[in-house]
Amino acid sequence: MLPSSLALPGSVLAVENLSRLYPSGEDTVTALAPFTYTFPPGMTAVVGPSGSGKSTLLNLLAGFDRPTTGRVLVDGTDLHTLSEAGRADFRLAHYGFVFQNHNLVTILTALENVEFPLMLAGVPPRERREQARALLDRVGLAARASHLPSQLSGGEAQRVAIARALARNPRVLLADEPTGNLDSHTGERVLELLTRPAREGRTVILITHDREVASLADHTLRLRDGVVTAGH
Amino acid sequence: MHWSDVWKLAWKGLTRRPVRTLLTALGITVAVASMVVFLSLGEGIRKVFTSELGAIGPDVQVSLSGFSQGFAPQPNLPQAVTADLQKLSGDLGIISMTPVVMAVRGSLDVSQSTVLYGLPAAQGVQAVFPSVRAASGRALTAADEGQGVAVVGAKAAQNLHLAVGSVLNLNRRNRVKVVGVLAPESGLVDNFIFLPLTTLQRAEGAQGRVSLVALKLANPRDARAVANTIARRLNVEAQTQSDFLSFIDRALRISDAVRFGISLIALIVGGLAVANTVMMGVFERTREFGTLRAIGARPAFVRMLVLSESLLLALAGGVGGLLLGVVGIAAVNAYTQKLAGIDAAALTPRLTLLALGISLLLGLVSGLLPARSASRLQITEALGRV
Repeated sequence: MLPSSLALPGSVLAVENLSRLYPSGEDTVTALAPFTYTFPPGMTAVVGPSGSGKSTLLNLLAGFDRPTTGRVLVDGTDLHTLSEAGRADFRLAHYGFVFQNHNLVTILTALENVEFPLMLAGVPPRERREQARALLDRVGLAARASHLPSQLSGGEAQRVAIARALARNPRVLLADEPTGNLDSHTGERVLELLTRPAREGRTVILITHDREVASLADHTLRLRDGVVTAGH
Repeated sequence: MHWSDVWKLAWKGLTRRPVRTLLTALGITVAVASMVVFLSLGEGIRKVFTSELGAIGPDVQVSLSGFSQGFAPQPNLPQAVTADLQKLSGDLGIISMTPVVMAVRGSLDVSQSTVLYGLPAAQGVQAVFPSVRAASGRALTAADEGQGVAVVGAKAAQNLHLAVGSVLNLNRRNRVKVVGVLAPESGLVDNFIFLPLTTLQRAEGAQGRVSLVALKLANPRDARAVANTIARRLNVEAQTQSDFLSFIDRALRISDAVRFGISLIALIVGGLAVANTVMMGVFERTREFGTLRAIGARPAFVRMLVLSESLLLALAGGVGGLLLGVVGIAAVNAYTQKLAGIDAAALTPRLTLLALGISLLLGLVSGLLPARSASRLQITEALGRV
């Protein structure tokens, strides 16, 4: 449960006074100015030009980086109070990630890549294989299960990455420019796969600099020079 | 997460660059094989002495300088000591006494080297080596004492091209005629040339002196006490079989250490190759490790994965090294069989375990640094998200 000051119906993710400053020589660079925000269920697009702080925000939301001030709360848990291993477990249990470059493990087949988070979670081999097959089927790639990432097109690889992100049935899905390297037609297909979990009430955070892509989101968070300029 | 999953992933990680992996494993293979062959020499010789001399050697051996002169002492013990021993024989339970003169004939060609073994012709070779028998010709008899005759071990006969009727030059003034050739014993005795005691004493200019006196006891369990009594009363060195074996073992241990030291160089080079290969793999897969960490792998998982790759690589090299070592040992034994009729090298269970253990240790040590580096990667840096 989020604290009452941050609670919104159905919300699981909120940030409170979150900021990230980097030392630069004797100066300090503000990558993200302090802000407080509750991410509503559904898809939230985080938009802004290059260098506006989008990646910094995602790094903090995911627990990849530590904030200078503030908290990231996921269903009442302050992510940054956890240890390194604790944050890894937390990501495995609650987050799904889709990166701009699919970031699939190159030596594993599509099926094995989708199985990977389930393997980390200790799901028995047969069970996880079945689940992974069902997920690949869901993204329309059942026939490509035994292919290596190098044998897949960019769009196919990104769909496998989405299947992997959904494997643990996460409450929060973080997608960083998921269509950045795809043509518009393939990109639409990928976005369709991401809007589905959003419609199911999950929190999907879509980082993009593409206004057209952002227009598909239920909510928008604008960033400029590390400052959140508009929400909802 | 199951261990089998980690091993499978580690295996896939290694097969990503098969040629590099194979070459590194070959490096370990050669290093372990050289260690196996080097150390197998000690194991083989240990086996020969334990099974052969332990079974047939004298219960007590009396000499002037013990084992300080090695296996074949100089004939510097006055033969009169046998009379003193005779006086004690009743009290000490000595049932037989064999004065022996030994002389080593070395040669630049090792196959031409041999041991001249003089003992009373009346007692015969079987007094010290009970199981030998003549394959051709005859054994020594009492009438041969002082005569220029010899009975030759099978390997000595083969290497020196001797047969019954051949003449063997002991030195410029002394030559003997071969009257018998022994059947192969698969041991050191095959390299001996047996002569009547006084014949060899004369040839060596050692009249009235012997190298040692071999004693058989009524109760071999008393050997230690008997040896102590003889040493004290007669002011000589007296050793038991176990003294002899522990002397051999001590000598072999020293040589084991030297041989292991030599192989250690190859092992260290092999270990560095593993570390290099695994570290390169880590650098090449920085983004991949970052992704694994991002989607929920703990640092310990990444550490385990890299360490498993290192262990697998070293273990594969270790198994390969053992197999290559077996081939090497067979080659060494083929040579030493031809030379001395013995298997000088042996792959014992403890050597097998040592080779595998050292391979694993090598893998573990070589993998520590790459594993630490991989587990400490910053996700943001690994994913290029700074």
